[in-house]
Amino acid sequence: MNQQTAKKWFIKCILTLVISLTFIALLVIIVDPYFHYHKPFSFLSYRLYEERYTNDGISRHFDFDAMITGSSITQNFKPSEMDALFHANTVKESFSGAGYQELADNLDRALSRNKNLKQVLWAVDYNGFLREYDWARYEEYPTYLYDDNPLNDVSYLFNKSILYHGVLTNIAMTLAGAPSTTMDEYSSWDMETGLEVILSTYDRNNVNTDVPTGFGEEEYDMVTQTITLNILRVVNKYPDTTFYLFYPPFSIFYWDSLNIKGTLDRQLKAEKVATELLLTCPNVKLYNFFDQYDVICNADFYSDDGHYCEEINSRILQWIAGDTGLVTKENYLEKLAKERDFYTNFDYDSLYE
Amino acid sequence: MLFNSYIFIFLFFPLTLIGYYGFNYAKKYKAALAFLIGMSMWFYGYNNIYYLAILIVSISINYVLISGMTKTSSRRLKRLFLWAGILLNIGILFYFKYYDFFIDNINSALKAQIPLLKLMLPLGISFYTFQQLSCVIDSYKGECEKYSLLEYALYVSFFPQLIAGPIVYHNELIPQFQNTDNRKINFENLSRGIYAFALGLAKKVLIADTFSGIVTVGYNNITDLNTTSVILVIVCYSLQLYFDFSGYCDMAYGMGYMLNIKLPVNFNSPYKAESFADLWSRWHMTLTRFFVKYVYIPLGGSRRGKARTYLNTLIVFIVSGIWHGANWTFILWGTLNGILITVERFTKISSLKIPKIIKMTVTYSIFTFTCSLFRSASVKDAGMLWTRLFRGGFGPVYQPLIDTFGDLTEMKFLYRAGLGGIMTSYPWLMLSLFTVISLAACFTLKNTQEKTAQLTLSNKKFLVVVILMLWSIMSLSGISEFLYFNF
Repeated sequence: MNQQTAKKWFIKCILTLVISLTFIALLVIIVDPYFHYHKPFSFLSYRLYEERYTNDGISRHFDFDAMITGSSITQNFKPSEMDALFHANTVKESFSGAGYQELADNLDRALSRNKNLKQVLWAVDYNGFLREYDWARYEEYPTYLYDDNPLNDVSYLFNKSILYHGVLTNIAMTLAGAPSTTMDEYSSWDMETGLEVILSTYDRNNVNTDVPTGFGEEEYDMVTQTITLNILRVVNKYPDTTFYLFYPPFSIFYWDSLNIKGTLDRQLKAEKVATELLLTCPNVKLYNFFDQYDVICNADFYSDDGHYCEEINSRILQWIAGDTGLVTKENYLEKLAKERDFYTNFDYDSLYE
Repeated sequence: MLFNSYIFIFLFFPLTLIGYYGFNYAKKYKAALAFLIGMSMWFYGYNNIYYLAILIVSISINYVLISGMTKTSSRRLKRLFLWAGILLNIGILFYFKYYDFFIDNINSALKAQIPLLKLMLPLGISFYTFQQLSCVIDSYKGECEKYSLLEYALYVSFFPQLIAGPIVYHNELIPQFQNTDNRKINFENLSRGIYAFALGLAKKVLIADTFSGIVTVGYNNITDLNTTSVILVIVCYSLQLYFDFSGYCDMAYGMGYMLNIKLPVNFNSPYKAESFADLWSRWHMTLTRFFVKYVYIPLGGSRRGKARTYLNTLIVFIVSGIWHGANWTFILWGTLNGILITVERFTKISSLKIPKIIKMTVTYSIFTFTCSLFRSASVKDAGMLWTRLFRGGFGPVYQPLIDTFGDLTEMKFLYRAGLGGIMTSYPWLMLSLFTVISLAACFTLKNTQEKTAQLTLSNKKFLVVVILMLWSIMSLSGISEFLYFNF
């Protein structure tokens, strides 16, 4: 093997690699499917998907003054409806299966970057009070998108999944003349609803009853930690922002499972602790819709025991805009008593007749 | 630091090449060695500085002992240094790797409650301990030259072979460091090196990591697997193990080439083996030769009759099992392989005139079966897997295995590129094809060392390097660890 030939061949390999990688990096930076570097270009079509990759980019570069955030039960909100009702310019940042900490961290980053963010609609998962404050379902996280370290952006720039699902898909959409995903469409779903659908995932005869049912000091501390270290941490840090918090109206089948497990009392006590903590914040408006019985007891609105259809998201926005279900220091005990009374005495068997 | 990481490929290794050849160009030969040591320390301490401290202490003490042996003429003192070295190295390895396993077994047997240390296992400790052990023993035997601290430290810490081998002898590596002819840029070696590195990177990232996902799903759901799925999972694991470890060694081999250092071959197409003895002369060759030189031969090798030869062989394989990990699964795996090779020698079954393909298939199948023990988290898990293998019944492949493969970006691309119909009708097809093609590659293709030696710098090979490097780099996120780090 000749040294000169080898030199040319080796340099050709290195140069081709460098040029190819530079080209790929530039392509990713220009299309920027997760808005890590810039806001969307008007000449490109964007597919909004993969919440955990996209949401931080929305916070970084979109123009907005209101945000809807929460777990999957916020995915069907229409920011355009919030715009109309709250005179705002809203973005939606749902995180399917999110824990409190993940949502709080995301909000904190968004609020610290965007001083115009004055209204936040935040779904407080009712079934999350009694989890560790840092409970998280997802371990693998694209952390390189969340920090401001440009060095670890290599994972974004040289990533075949992002190149294929993000960059090439957006280019294909643009070439095909397809419009970008709207904020209303982003992460929304249209699943079947009704009793049959709910019962395909909820089997009241197979509810795990081997769970703790009491509410003692340990549970009190857990709720306090979860609310304080996540929600209050963010809410108190941004006193000029109004936080519309609400307990999502889970279906009557959720309450049925609490009854079967024997955890209804425990859950209501946790709610009381959480509510009292949240009501200490002057910039929080807390809503509870568990007295919307026509919704909660109607299986046609639900696809499982917790997830409701798009129509309920619209109703929630209207309720909040009209202060329906507003919880105050004056009414929360009465509301809790009514809630306890209704869900303790409800004839759950009638649901299955 | 991992070879298959952005920082290694984009920063660490280019910087190493530039710095090393830069110092050598300026004829600062010692500085060049010191630079390589510095880079190796960065490489090793990148994820955990505590590992680095252990390595430095280990190198320092071993160097003092080895120097002591080369300087003194007192036989007694030499023997003292030898035993100090053996005890030190085996002691460090025992303390970090086996103490908890040992105590755990005592606790179980005696119903005692001796506390466990729960220490993190320093990366590659088994590899660099063995290299140093070989140097200590060779020094005692007078087979070790007098090396400078720089040379010795680089021999142990040389990053291409530091954390997963090959296990190199001092007299293979240090003379190459000493040879100033090796200090000049050699584009022929750079070309061969980048070619071997590209092949190794692709084996690790594109093949082994793909199988890894499938194997993990399988082993996490053993009770849901039927016979068909268990067979698929254990075959996938045999491929993962081979492509992972040999891919790593290919990368090491390639980097060695680029630095004008020739590392020994560690895998010589082991699945082409026609017998167990043949397989073990091709699989993790530098470990096998270590055990032959430092365990088998001192035990008497084959010089003390057949029975003793078989016993010595069995001992070597049990020690090899122990070396692989502090778990009964590894010990049983080693023992099983020892029994198989002993039975093979005793019955002379491998000399029967059977078609080569049958011999290869039988050897591979039995070895693959033993590997299912190697991968299991416990002997109980292995038992469960084997129960499912023999009693699970043939039927469709466990869907999550297919789904895991289907989640690959490449599969999504093929789906949209026109193969969607076939992939929907035959969901098992692509995974089966990938497995069969990988298997066929192991049985038929030349290994990386052969390919590298015969490399012609054609446009075809240029495309191979560029495409494999680009494809692998684009597949790096979601880094998985090398299997052999914990050995």
